[in-house]
Amino acid sequence: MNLKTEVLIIGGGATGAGIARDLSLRRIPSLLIEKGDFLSGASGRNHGLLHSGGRYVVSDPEAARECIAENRILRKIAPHCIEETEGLFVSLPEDGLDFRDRFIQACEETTLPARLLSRDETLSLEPGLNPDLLSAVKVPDGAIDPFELVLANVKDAEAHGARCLLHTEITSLLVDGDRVKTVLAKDLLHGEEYLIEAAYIINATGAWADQLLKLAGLRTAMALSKGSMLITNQRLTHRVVNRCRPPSDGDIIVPNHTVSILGTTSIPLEDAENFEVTHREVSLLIRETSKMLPAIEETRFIRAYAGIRPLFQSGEKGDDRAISRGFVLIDHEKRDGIRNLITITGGKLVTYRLMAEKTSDLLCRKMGIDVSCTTHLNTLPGAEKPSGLKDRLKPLGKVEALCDCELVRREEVEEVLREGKLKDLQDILHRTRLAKGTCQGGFCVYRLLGMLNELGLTEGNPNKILKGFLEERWKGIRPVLWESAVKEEELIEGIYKGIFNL
Amino acid sequence: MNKKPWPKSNPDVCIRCAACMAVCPVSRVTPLFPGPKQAGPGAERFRKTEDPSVDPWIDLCIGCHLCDLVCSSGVPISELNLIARAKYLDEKGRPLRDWLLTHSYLFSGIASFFSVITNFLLKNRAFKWIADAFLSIDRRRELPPYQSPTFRQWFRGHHSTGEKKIAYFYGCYINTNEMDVGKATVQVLEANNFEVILPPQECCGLPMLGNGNFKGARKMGLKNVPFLLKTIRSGVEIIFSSTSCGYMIRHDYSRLLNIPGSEEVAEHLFDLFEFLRNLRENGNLNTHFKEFPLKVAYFAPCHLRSLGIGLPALDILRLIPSLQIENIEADCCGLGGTFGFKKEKYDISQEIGKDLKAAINRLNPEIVLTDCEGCRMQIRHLTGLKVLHPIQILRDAWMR
Amino acid sequence: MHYDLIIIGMGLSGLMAAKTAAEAGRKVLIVGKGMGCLTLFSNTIDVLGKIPETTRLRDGLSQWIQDHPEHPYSKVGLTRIEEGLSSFTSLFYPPYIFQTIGDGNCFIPTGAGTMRPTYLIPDTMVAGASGKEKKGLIVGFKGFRDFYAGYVAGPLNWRGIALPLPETPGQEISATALSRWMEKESFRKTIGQEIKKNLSGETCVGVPAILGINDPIKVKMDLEEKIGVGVFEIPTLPPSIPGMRIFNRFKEWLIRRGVNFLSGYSISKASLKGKRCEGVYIHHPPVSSFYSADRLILATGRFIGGGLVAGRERISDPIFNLPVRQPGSQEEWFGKSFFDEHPIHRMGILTDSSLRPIDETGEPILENVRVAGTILSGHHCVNEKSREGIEIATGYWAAKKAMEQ
Repeated sequence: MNLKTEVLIIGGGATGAGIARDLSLRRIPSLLIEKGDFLSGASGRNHGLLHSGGRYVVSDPEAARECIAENRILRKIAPHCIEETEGLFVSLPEDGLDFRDRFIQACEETTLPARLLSRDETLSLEPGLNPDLLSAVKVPDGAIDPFELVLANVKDAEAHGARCLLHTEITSLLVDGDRVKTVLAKDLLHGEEYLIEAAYIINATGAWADQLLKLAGLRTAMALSKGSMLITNQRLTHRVVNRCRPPSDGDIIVPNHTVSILGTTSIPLEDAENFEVTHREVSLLIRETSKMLPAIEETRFIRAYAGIRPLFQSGEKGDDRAISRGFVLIDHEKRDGIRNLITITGGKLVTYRLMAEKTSDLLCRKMGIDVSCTTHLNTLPGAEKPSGLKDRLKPLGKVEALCDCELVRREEVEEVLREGKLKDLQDILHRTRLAKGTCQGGFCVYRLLGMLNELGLTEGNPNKILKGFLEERWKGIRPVLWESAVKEEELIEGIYKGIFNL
Repeated sequence: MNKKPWPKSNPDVCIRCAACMAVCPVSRVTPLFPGPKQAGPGAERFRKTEDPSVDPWIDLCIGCHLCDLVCSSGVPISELNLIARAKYLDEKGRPLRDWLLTHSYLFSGIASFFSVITNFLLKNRAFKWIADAFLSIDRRRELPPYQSPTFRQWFRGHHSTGEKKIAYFYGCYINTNEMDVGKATVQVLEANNFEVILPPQECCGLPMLGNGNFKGARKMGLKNVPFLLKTIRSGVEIIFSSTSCGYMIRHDYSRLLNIPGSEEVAEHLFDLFEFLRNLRENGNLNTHFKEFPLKVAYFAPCHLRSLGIGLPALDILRLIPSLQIENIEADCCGLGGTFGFKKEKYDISQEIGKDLKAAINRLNPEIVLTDCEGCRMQIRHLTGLKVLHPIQILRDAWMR
Repeated sequence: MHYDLIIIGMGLSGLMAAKTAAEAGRKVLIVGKGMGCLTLFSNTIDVLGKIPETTRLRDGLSQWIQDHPEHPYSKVGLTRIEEGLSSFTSLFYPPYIFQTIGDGNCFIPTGAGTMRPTYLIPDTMVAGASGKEKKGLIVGFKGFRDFYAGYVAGPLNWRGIALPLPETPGQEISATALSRWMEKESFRKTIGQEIKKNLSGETCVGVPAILGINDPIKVKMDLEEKIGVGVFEIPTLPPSIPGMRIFNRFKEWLIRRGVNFLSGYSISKASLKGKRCEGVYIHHPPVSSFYSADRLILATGRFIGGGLVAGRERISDPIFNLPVRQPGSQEEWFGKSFFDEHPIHRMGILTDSSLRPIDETGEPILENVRVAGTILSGHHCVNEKSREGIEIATGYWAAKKAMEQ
């Protein structure tokens, strides 16, 4: 099948979706292609922190400035994706106060609102914190739901004419002289092949940027870094808790809906596809974060996961935290003489909009048109009806909940299904809180498949999908199996291997 | 710095297995209550102490504790529910009805004194209609009649003698509504050579706690514990005949209400039949029973099960020759203290009760026995049968 | 209080031990933290589902015993396993009885549309047993989230329908609520009519295992009369109503026999003196009670039951701290795939052939304690499909051996 578009965006993470939205608001037609579902890469595998910029304020003031500016914009345009929790940078006795003082000064210089709290003030806000702490600095960190954010961007983009193709992989980029002439792509679920003609191509594939460029015979100097995170069964704090010291392993606790996310590690990686959270990382995260919040030693974890950070390598390879987290925009016309190709990579979830704006600006310049960005002025769809935890709790008894742990109603899933375009189970799981709670889908995915079956939406034997899900689930829970989680695991095995004889 | 007046249990240990869903009497009869798994540890992940409650359905938890007893992970589900209910009701405000139902100890003395008038009113259809319309106390429910003299008044004129002393916590209901249970208790204890004394006592506070009124319940506990402490420190142990009052004092006083001295009291407080069973274990129980050909069925109240002492009344009554006694295979009676009096919960209460009624019908007894006044009221209401406290049968079976 | 025998654990193995001892007239206390796994997994009685389809169970078991000397079955022996099983079945009287189909395993449909081998099944499941060749209609109920008729019917090439429940539109309905409705004549009449209308040539009707708690056979027979074809139950997600029936039956029987039945309480401490256990403490805050006994049986199950506790790095028995054969460090407990045979499931308490706990050298650690049920090492009950068989056989045998003492 032949497809034609003005701009082809490759990659359905926050950046790709942001660009699709930005271009659509500028009335530039685009087609977004993603080999998995939206947010399959780092956008869906981070700790969901709405950075205030505090984490970079000492090491990279420029990045911090970007963060605080974008933080303010996102609060305005995507209030429904954000929980304004505030954040604390906690100083423990072993950290001393030197860094804290530099931190406060750097905050002043970058106009990042920061307030020093005494030990007692801090503990009255977050009673669970280590009582030995010296002080804390309060900054406007928050929690952001990357799934809602990216899907809202996609929704807005589509409403303004953008198109998206999911589960479709780019198989080749055919270069003819100074431009990529045609692009070949393949639907990974149904095997259909596409020949795409696009005037411009944007590579927004994050950790896969280099792999894509290889198709056009190009290269970029980028590093991959694995960051692992742990999810707790309950939300442990109201605020984001950071360690007030130079960024390091296990120095952040982010509340997110009903859970908290502990992060992170930073391990150089060669391959963007095959990686797992190791036993060592789990121990390290627990050891380090429990210094800030002692209850973590005893708490229950429900999942471990890792994301790949695409980091742009500017100079020598060393500690990969020293590599800039600011983003990189490459005009391949200037660098490689390919006129219609742009690569955007690096960056952070919180700066996705800015990255999209800069990319679209560059594109407009190349196209010779002059339309300015409006993504910071218009709110995202859904902002008018924010929903929270209480909306899940309230209607129990009057509705049918598929998921007991996250209280996801059947209606809610039906609504997601009505929006269409869903090709596999993970697509549904990305769009709801289903399987994100205590049992990690141990009960509700079977129910979901039963429901899909009733609606005629499962092809072939649903047990194949169920088994696939159980394997996927296993990757996340295997690293955190002890105490209650082992009991839970025995239960789930008893159900699927026992009662259901799968 | 934990300012919470009552413990907050950790729902982390719940493994979502649904064993509690197999026994919950409420979710068995209505979909309006999502069941212990969701209402307790499930919802707990969503609740934030600083946010207003949004879960009115939590008020449908009847407080039977059956979920706690089947949980192999030790999740104190009913406690999570009770705390959530308390928060919900604190915010919503309690109707006058709830106040009346939980403060009957304030006016029961007068009610007993004027029992002829009170009972006329309580049975009067117009009165019940008014209570239903203005107070939402369901008019289909019989309100228990008051007796005069009260148990305490009777005891004042009674001269108790025995070799050893034993103290008796009789509870409000026995005092003003079912004094024969108190009398039977005294008689049985005396037959075993105990001199019965009545320490000063107030309502144990369970009706308040059951309605999520922690403060009120704590106040009652603070009044009772010093009296009871004084008793046990004088070397006298205490028994109770109402399993609900007993459970409240023995366990809730310390665990939920943090009442100083309550641990010490708990060590010396026994269920009446538990006490008799201990006597028997040591060979000291008077077992001169006569032939007592009667077919009775015994029902173990929820609070007895929560006491964790087995079924001592059954153990003792089985010693009576010719008494045919069967245990009733049913769970909660459905009354749940004041739960079943409330208009909005009456139907649920009755549906729960139907299962118990069916179980009783299968046994076809002449008399039903149970240790809890609430269960007795409910079983009378459900079946119309004669319902007694097991101590009354034990007394009657004694050779004189 | 003093007892001849205290049984710790209220799963099937503990209940079997209690029954065996009570039958012999002993004074028994059974105490358990929860209800065991009966209400979770047990719908039927698996003994050894792993053996080839056409093998007689007896032959399969003897071969298994020969091949697996460390397996609990090998400690109990074939004759005792059979005695245990018949003691179990004798507890159930008509019409709700457990039976075999032929002399080997039979196959019953599951909530995922698979067939699973099992040995003893209740009467309510007979019409669906070994029934792949039959043509069945699967009936589910809207709002009952633990069973999906179409899902079940698909892989079996049967047909599935979901009946609406007009009284609870859009609401969810629990397994116990549905079971309770099933016991009502009016409900059966309505759904019986609906099912009959939907039959098109099917010779049997499968429903989730919710045909009432108290009198399932009456419910089944009445439905069959209304529909005109055989009706059978299909096990699905917990809670298991058939498991509840087993639990209730044991409980009723044991209480009638004067067994002290303490559900909901865990042992806080065992009182040991040399190689003997003198009794146990039950802590029910703030009160601690001591129960002494001549003999004890540990039947606390695996992780769910709390018999074994997996710490961050070690697995232990929290009551007697008996040695547990460790499957390596936490990293090695589980395989890389969910469907692997995880090493953690093989480990457990080591015992001699009379089920007394032993140390690594084979010396008994406690003379008057026996161990029964899935807490024992040397089996993989989920993969072997042997859960209930192990529980029944070892529960029975542990009580028998304890009473010999």
